[in-house]
Amino acid sequence: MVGPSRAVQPMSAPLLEVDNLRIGFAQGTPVDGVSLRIGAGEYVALVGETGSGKTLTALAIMGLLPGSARVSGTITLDGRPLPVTDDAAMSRLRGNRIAMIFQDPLLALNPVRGVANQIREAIRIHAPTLSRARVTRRVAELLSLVDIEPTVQNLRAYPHEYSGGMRQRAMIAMAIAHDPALLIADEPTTALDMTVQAHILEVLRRVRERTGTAILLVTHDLGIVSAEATRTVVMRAGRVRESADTAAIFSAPSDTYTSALIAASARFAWGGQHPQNTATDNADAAIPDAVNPAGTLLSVRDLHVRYPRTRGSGGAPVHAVRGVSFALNRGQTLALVGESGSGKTSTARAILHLTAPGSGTITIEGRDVASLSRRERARLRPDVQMVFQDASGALDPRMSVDQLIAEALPRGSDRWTRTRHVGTLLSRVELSTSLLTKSAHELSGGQRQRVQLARALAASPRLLVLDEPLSALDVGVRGEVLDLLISLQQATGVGYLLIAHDLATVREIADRTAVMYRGEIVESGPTSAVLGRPQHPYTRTLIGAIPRSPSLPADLSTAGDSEPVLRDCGGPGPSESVPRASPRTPPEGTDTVTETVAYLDAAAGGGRFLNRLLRRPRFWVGGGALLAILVWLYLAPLLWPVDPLARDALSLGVGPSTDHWLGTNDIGQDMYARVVAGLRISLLIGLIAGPGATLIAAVLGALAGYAGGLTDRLVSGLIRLLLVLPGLLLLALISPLFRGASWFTMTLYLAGFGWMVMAQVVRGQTRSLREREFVLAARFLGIPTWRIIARHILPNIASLLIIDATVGVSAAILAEAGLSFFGLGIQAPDLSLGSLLATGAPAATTRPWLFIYPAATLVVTVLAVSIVGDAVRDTVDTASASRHDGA
Amino acid sequence: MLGFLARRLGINALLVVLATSLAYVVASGVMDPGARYRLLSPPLSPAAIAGKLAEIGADPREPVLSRLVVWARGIIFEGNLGRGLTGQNITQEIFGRAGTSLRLLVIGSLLAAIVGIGLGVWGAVRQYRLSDQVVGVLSFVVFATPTFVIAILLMIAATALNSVLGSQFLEFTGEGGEAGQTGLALVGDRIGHLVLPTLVLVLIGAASYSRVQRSAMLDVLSAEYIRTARAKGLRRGQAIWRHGVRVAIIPMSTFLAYSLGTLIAGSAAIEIVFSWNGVGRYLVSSIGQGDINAIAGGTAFISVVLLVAASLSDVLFGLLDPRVRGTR
Repeated sequence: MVGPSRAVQPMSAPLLEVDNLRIGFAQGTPVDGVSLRIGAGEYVALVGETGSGKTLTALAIMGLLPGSARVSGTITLDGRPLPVTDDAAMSRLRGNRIAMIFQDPLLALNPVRGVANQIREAIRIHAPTLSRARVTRRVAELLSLVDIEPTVQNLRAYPHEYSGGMRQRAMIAMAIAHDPALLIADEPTTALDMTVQAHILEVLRRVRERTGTAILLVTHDLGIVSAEATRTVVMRAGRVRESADTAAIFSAPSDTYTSALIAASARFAWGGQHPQNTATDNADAAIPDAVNPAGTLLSVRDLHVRYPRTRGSGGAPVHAVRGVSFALNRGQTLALVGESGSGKTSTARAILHLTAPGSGTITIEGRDVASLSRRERARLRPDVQMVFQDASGALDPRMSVDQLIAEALPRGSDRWTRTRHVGTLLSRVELSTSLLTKSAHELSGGQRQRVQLARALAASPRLLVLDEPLSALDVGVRGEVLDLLISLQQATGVGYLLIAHDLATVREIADRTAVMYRGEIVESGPTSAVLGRPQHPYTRTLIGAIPRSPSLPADLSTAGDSEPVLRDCGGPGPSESVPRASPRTPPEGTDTVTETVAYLDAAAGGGRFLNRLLRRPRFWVGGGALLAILVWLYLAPLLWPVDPLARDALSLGVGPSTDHWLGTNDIGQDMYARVVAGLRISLLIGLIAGPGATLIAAVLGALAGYAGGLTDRLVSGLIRLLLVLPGLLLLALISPLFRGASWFTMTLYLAGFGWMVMAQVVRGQTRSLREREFVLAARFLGIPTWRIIARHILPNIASLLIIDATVGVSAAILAEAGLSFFGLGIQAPDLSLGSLLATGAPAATTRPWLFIYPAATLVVTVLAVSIVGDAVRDTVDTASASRHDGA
Repeated sequence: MLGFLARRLGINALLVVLATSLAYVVASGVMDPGARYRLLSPPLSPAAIAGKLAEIGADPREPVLSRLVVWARGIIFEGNLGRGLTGQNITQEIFGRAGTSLRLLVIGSLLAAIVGIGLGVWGAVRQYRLSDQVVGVLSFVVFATPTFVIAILLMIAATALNSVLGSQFLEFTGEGGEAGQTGLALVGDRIGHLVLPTLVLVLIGAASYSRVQRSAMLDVLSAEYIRTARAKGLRRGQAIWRHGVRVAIIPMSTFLAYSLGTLIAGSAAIEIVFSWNGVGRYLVSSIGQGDINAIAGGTAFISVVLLVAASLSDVLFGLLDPRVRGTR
């Protein structure tokens, strides 16, 4: 391995020097001996794929790692070691000498404070004596520097009123408030559109020129690196692979990994070379109107999509797609290109019947989708499949690869045929069958994307909608998946509708390209023409926004034999046997610290829900107590065979004694026997009513949430009506119906009126799950509704239901007691803890044993149940935090 | 902002009407207000009973909805909640008790909110430390104990304390007013009687508020803007205080109103245990007697209290979160 020895010496004395930095967590060492130096005013890029440790390195420089991190090595700034252990000293440097901006400015800005207010704060922290007027002037100055006009409106605005690009520029303004010597930018443009990215990069460049700050740009995008940075540090698996001048690295990389990375990214670089797409040659014949109708797979004519007005849109209905027409031939690829808000996703949703088109016609294989009956449409469903951008969200986290693909196969075949089928599909997407039993979060990003493809192909679709299929992948994997897409199309003749913002991907695969802008297609035609000789100014802007380096040689695909090096870092398919560089390298899509830590947690902990639950001491405390109570209830009559109703005329109302352990009541009944009998009834009520209410909530909530329409309105109406009155008041009002009730009617009432809140929760969860990508995928496959609810919805809210059921047990026991105390529930002489407490309450100060013992029994029982419930809840919380369900 | 509040107020007002009507209809459907007359000896004839009930608008021969309309008309045109089974004026009964109940409820829920939010924030910042664990365990114990049991246990403890001290140090019967009807004596006496009941309400309120606030605060602590604030140079405590707490209180502003229903049920139990002559206790005894007008009247009172609380929490929500104020 080539180490940092080849590092080019910075011209001046280094501003920042990181020496042998190690960052360890309990579960692994994601940064393992990193050394790098940054000279004053230098523009250094820190490049690496996901999980390479680049963000952690940046946070270590800021001293902002989570408390659980173990850090060793030294970091020197201006020749003095950073006081990493002294938070007070560090905070005097942060925002002053070193500053940082983050990936998602919407999350990084405080949502409830004005943008200008937050910039003011940044100024005042290190200059508390500055006068108000001078702070105001400085805010205006900073905003102007980042191209935000300091108008009253912009100064008063909150972050949500800014656009994404403005937010990131405001972040930059905040970071440079004190002209820092070093500005760390962590993936500052990843969450933003291409043209916005160009603007941010320009602002960064300008800031560096004006203030002389050094910039450490953390990124995965080699295109940006080659265009912006003077020096580049390449990281992988927690180590620096190569560090040199950017031009040197790109022209003659010395490290095998670096050269493989550069070769892979060259395919997606925009060097101005002629598109290599062979398919484009015959694409001129595919002008929509001149198309041979027999060859047309998809035709969209004058499509309009409108969304009803929402509060967010300021009251006006959104006209997302305005009269779009295009056609796609069988076996070809059409790319819809545009930035967020251009209407390309709305168009795709209309084609997938997810959004009812406002007007216009969509025909697939010559059939007008809108004119089809429900059943015909259901039959047509598998014809159109979708591959989502975020593969981890598109695969049900609770299913194995085998289940995911088998589910998509046409039903009716036997088990053996299915197994063979799944095997065929896996080999078609170049995945090994050893992955069959894995679940989605155990796969790498590339593997997940392949599983998604296999599932889509299982339905033998004619049209595949590809929604940004590559943009969530690391650059090394990108090319492989792209090749797979091309070969699959050649093999199966499936047509692709590609939705993308990355023009390099489009150039590689699309026969035709349509550029969308503000809901309209502004330019369309053969890809080579649209991208090679753009006519519309917007297309030119898009192409102009692609970062490119003047020094970059036109053709870089000479790195040749380095392919396998890339493959082993999350390598799919054929390279499965190659050991991964680090078994602890998180898969793609886990770049933030919390996610990395959570991933390491999950990887180290392994195991499923039950395993994690069993490792919780609290579960054993609560569960043990509950078990002890149950055993006691079972054994009590054997050990102390006293009838709770029998009267001992010789001891009326006496305190605890050897004859009567817990004393007797006024008519000489043994309190111990009564408490045991009462607890038995109360626990029975709780154990049935709690889960019973949960069951009702699950069925009604899932039904209403999934079905929508009339069912939803009826169920929601009933819920709202019942919730109009506070819970206990409703129970109390109904109580005359079960006055002097048996435990059984009491149970029925508690379950029958205890489900509403949970049903609302289940309904809400179902509604959001219904729009989740893995459920959408199941819907596209034409899987029947009940099956989707049973296999994809309920299992994913099972943990919530378990929590509710345990909470319900406690709630039912408490409600029973409360009602008895109000004189409305089970009353003496019938036994329950509630009736015992209600009888004992008036005597509580004079004969406390009548009250204290039933009360203590109740509290201990409910406490035991609650502790079990809390352990379950905690397990669920960490489980959902460590699972990569996507947004 | 104003549009948002007006819309919320409209919905809440509608809910009051709906809740009261629902209570009237349900109570009429399941209760037997004539039962008390049937127990008389000599028993009254069914016709005579119906006649007695007709006097107060509870004639079982009339359809429920038309009785509801008559009762509602009385409220709208005369501001009169009708008469109860014993002929008492329900409006007077409820207004006479309103002050007692509100005194407990307002002071109790405000203190509970303050204590709960404080404990929640503190617990989140000191997550998994001993103090956090202790607060967590205590709130679980409170959750597991019915309100009336807490009240009675405190009463037992107060009795023990009083007998040790040899004087009536803590009051636990009635709401006070015996020591004099004017001036400081009255105020002091009232406060003395408030201590224990308020303590119970604060305990049950703070137990749940602190848990909700703790988890809201934990969410905020891992928020990226806290990291941004530290990247600007704020110390951890400063960042949490200036940027975290306000955001973490936003979900509480809704939860406070939502959970007031539970506190009202709790305060009914407290009124019974400490022999306070409040609306909750009145409502419970009315349910026991099947007094439909009194039940609906009591429900109306509770609904209005909830309406006011919900509206206040909407205002708070709007003030705390600029995102709901609507775009300019």
